[in-house]
Amino acid sequence: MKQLLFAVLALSLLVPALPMAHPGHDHKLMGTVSSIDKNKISMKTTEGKDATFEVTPTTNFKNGSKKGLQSDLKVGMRVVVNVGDGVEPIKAKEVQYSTATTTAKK
Amino acid sequence: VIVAPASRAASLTIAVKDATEIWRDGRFRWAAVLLLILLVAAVAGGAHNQSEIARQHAAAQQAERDVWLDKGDMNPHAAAHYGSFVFKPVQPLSAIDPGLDPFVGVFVFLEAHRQQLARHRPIEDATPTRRLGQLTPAAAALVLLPLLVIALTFASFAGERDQGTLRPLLAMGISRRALLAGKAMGAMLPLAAVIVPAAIAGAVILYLNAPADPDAPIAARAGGMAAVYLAHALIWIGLGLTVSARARSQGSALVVLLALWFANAFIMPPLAMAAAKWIEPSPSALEFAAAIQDGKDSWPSWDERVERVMQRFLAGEFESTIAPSNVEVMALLESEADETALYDRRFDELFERYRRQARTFERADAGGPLAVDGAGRHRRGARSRFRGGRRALSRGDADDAECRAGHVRPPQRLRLHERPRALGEGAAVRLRRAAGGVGGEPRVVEPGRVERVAAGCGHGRGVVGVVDEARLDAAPPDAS
Repeated sequence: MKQLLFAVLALSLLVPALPMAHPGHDHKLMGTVSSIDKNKISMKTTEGKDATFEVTPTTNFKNGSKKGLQSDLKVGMRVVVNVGDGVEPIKAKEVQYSTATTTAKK
Repeated sequence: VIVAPASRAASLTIAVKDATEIWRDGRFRWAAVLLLILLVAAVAGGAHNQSEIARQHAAAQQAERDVWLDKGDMNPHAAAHYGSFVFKPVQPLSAIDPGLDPFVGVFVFLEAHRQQLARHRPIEDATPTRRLGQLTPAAAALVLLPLLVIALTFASFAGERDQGTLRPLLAMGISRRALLAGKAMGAMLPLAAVIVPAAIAGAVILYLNAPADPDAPIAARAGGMAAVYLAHALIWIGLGLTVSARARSQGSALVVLLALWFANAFIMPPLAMAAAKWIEPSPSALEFAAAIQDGKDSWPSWDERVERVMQRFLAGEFESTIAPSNVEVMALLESEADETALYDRRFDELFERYRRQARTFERADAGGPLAVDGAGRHRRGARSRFRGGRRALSRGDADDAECRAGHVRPPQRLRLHERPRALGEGAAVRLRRAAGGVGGEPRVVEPGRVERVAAGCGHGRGVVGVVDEARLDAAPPDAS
């Protein structure tokens, strides 16, 4: 009984020492579409870096506040891509764009 | 007072006669010797105190530096908020007059994003009479020396009148100006017997105290201070002679001068300060903090701010290619800018009130020892405000946002910079973030190692990571 008690105590002491898992946030990247494939979208971020994201059947497209379509996307269009927690392979959870503004100025 | 050459001899005769009589008076000798001892002791004590404070500051600064260097690797945002204390250098002239130190404090906490005032100001814990208990050379020169001047001047004319010698003096053909000049010199000569040795002793003691900043014009400043004290003493000599000339008797002259001295030293300063505070009320610390909090409460929530950034980007804003690609980082930067503007506005308002208070105080107490001693004190105090930089979120939120910003980057593509040992102010961290990192060689590390860093981000100040800066590599994530 005592051994069980000490084991529980030891375990309870260990719990706070364990690193808490990072809660994970959805991260959104801003950029300009540079190429569009069926399953991939590449964009140049506002930092000037290139990034590519997988488009899956669950990827949600939004045109402003309305539902959008991947076919609406055009090269040069400004997009905000929700890349989830950013773990590779990076999949786009949501791609937001606005047809009200066409292409980004360079 | 300009006197004709013919009257100079008479003036000198009067001056020598008065000075000799004063010097022969044992009461004056006692008072002069006591004041001299007091002045020299005050300078010596002040110098010792100044040296001790300088030594303590140096030790504390070194200890603080060691703490900073030994704190280990840290997320840059956490490091910027980890902060460090810095201490104001102690200059030799603080042995004469500690000046602003008791009012604005001697050390500040440097932390990114926050604007800080000096901490633990001695005046905060002091009673209103604390100043009276401070034996500084400045206090002795501005409060006690006038007493000696009063003792030297109250009988200058009134005594002659009481003894019936004033009319015969004037009947001898001595002009009023020559008489005034002789009386003034007669008071100044014995006074010089106190001031000159004290000034020499003070100069020697100050010379032996090495300045914290060798380039500081200590001699010029000391000369300026001496000129102010001398002018103050001369004003009191003029006042004493005026009252003595107009008083009916020595007794009444003495009473009037003592009343003036008391009012000037003890009544007018607090009255002037109370008037200044009444005319230009300043907020309490709690009110000031509440005003800043009210400003923050009026801002959009974090989620709203992120959403707005996103919508503005889609609407065509953020043309620059150096804008962060992460929406949250952009929101964080804007939040910091808002907070900086808020702090700037509130602090500017606060210090403008202080400036107006100081002006009111100096007008109301013109010539008073505290006004002379602290001329421009409040204005200079206002400028002593430290701006620690900008701050966007509470520490936990900021760390979290920073962590999120880093976490989105694919671990395989993270390029890491070792933390430079000299990493200091928040500005340095901001520069690193904006310019892609300064100092240290960028290198690519194992993904697992990066993940450990990322996982540790949420632990805020206590996080121990292996890097302090993580940036997206130029290569696209899927190119490998």
